[in-house]
Amino acid sequence: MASPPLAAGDLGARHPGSIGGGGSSAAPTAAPARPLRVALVGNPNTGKTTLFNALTGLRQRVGNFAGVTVERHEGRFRTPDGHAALLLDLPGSYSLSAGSPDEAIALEVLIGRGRDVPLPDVVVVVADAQHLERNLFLASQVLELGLPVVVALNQFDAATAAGITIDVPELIHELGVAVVPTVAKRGEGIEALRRAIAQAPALPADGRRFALPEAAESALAPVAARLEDAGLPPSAARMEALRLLGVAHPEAHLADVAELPALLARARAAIADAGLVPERLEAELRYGWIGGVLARCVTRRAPRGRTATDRVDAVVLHRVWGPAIFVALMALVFQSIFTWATPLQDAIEGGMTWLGGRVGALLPPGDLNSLVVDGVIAGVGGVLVFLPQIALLFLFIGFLEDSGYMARAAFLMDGLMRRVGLHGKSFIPMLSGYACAVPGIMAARTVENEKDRLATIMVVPLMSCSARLPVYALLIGAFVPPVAVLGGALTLQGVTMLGMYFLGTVTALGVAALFKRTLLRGPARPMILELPQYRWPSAKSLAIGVYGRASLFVRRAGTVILALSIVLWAMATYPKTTPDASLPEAAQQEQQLERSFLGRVGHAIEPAVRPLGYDWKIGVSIAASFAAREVFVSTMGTIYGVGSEGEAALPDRLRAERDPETGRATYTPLVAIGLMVFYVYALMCISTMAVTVREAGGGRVGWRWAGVQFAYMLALAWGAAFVVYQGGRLLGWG
Amino acid sequence: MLSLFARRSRPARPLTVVSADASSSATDPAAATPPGACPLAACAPGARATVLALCCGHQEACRLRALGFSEGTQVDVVDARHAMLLDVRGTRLALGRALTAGITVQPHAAG
Ligand SMILES: Nc1nc2c(ncn2[C@@H]2O[C@H](COP(=O)(O)OP(=O)(O)O)[C@@H](O)[C@H]2O)c(=O)[nH]1
Repeated sequence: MASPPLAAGDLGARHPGSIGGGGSSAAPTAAPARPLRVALVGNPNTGKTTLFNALTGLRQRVGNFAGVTVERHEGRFRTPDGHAALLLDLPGSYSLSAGSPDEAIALEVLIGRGRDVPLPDVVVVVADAQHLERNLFLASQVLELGLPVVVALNQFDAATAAGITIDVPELIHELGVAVVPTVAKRGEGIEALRRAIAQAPALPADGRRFALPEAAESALAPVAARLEDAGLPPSAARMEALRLLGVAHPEAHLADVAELPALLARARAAIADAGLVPERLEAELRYGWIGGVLARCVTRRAPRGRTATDRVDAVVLHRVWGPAIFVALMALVFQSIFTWATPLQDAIEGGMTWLGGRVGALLPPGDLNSLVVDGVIAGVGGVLVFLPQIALLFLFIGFLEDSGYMARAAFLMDGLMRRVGLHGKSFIPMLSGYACAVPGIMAARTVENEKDRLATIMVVPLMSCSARLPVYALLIGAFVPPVAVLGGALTLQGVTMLGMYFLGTVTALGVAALFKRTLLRGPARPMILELPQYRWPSAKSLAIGVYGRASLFVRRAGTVILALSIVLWAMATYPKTTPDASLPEAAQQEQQLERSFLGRVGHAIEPAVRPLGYDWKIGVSIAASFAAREVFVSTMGTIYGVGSEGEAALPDRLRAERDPETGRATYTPLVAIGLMVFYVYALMCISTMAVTVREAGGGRVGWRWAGVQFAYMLALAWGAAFVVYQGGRLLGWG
Repeated sequence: MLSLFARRSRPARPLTVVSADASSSATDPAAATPPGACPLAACAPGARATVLALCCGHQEACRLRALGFSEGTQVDVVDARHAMLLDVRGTRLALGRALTAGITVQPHAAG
């Protein structure tokens, strides 16, 4: 091993992380044994997330970068010599640029302008061995930064299988940094990668320099000097100067660099005078270099024929079969959410009933008993029952993403989306919205155009998210019979569920079209989308993703929903009144409930929801679910728990509920459908509103958009539920 | 095989361009387009062509070049409908029609 042995104190001392002092010029101060800061960059679909998981396991945490909602994944691991390392997963990007908020984060961190992220000690570039040509573009930019770099040559197995041979020692010679072949999916090469990361800071990292044509070199010198004055490390300044030649608009993170646009204009003119095209210079230089590297390091067995991906695409992207497969796939997803989750749900429900019974028997009858059994167990348990369905939904969405199908869906939908005024890429945030509007709205970051992004953000919450699932599931389970339709392929319940998702989707498209023609008028930006190769997703990655989301759901159930359940229980129980003793037992309880705080609030709300066919109990549940939709179910659980004695399951109680005056059923199927339609449209999620505020521009602008979103969705919800109920009655259905 | 990593046995090769690609930037984009050139959007599935000029928004051009879709690059048309499916430097891209209409290419002779 040629590299000198490492003293623990050396680690991390090279780059103290201050903005001005980065680069190789930093004096080795006696650093305390702080963890080695490692940043992970790479093109999308290289297996970066998988590699991150392989390196850190479950020692990771998801947060946000300051000021923006770009998800920030951080994790810890130990290098083979026992040193702690802090791994930061930067958003995937094809090149260092500031074209989208995501890309800007990676760039800012790597040139030492990250708002709350110090300059990393080591940068790991994840490159897809199968697509080295394109992946080396980003790598060549990072190599110029003057930071210690390690290249992880991931998907080495797939490259070998595709007949691609990479001469790794030769590639190390070309790049001048450590190159470690890895198979992140199977954990191969991870130890070697850890070792290389530990050694990287001790190797000279002088920042490779591209030899530019004479004219370009002198034209760019003043730009680089100016950037250096502004605090960029010298090598990063050079890289930036070259990159900015092709960037027409000033970038936010360099806004405080005085005279930059003028300097750049001068540089462009000088380069054009020398007969070069400034915008093309960077791409030509880098791809020119890459061509040479590939010629020396990579050999391909036989010219590529039709690959497996080609054969699958021939069907999946077929003009007729493609859309048919898409619809069938969606139907399968929603049907299986219903059927596969049932046994698990029954088990959870059984467990909750058992727990309620045991606890109820243990505690003396009275308010405490009621609080625990009707408030906590019925409320939180009622929501927890839906955990299996939510986990399944995230599993499916994760599968669609990791397998490469998501991009195909975007391509298939491009034609439709263009009629709406957006392009296919906006469909990906919408599809993710099926799982949860929060990641969906964040996924809108990949839509480059501002107006298109806003229009996408405005409609993502119309996609039925997993929090609506409990509401649909409760109502469908209670009021839609499980009869088989379509020759037994689906049940009426599954079809109703699919109908709700379909309704939300179609409305989302319609509303987006409306926004694009009014508030957000502007030309549709053309789509640029990579279709990755199809892959069998790794079970581990899927499991980690589902685990993260499921634990978030459970945490919500244990905090927000628990707190609301207790509040609602208290409101339903107090003040205690003496009911009319002449009434039968059940009616006495009913009377007590009506006279409680909750009852009074409910009666106040009732006029607003009467036209929709709801009684005050539904009104209260709706009002409570503006904090979080699942609360509808827990509130119902509490109301019917407090108001009755029996142990019957909630759906049975809903079916049995009668209007005290008319004696007719409170919940007709028409009311249930109208209620579901209300939930399809209403924005009842504080997290979504918070994320909209930030992603729509923050501050006053963000609040305005969030307000618009909330208002239009509420109007839509009320209007549609009104039309369903009153229309249905006119037709004699209710 | 998978345990290979940095062995600094010899100095790294300098980052220089030896490929012919670099000289293409000496050509002026405004120069007359050669005969036979056409918009990429006009190419049929199965066609192969060389990119001559990107006439689109700066941002899109910048993105395309970073993806390896730059002047002088060879592209294969896989499918063409509302958007085009293209193979470029070993990766598959879908480009909207608004883009492909503004990209001038030199189709290769069928063969
Ligand atoms: N064959 C192979 N597939 C991999 C490897 N690493 C990741 N993958 C797969 O590549 C896909 C994309 O991985 P992901 O980590 O989500 O990529 P990211 O977009 O770069 O974060 C997933 O289906 C992984 O299972 C690998 O080393 N070999």
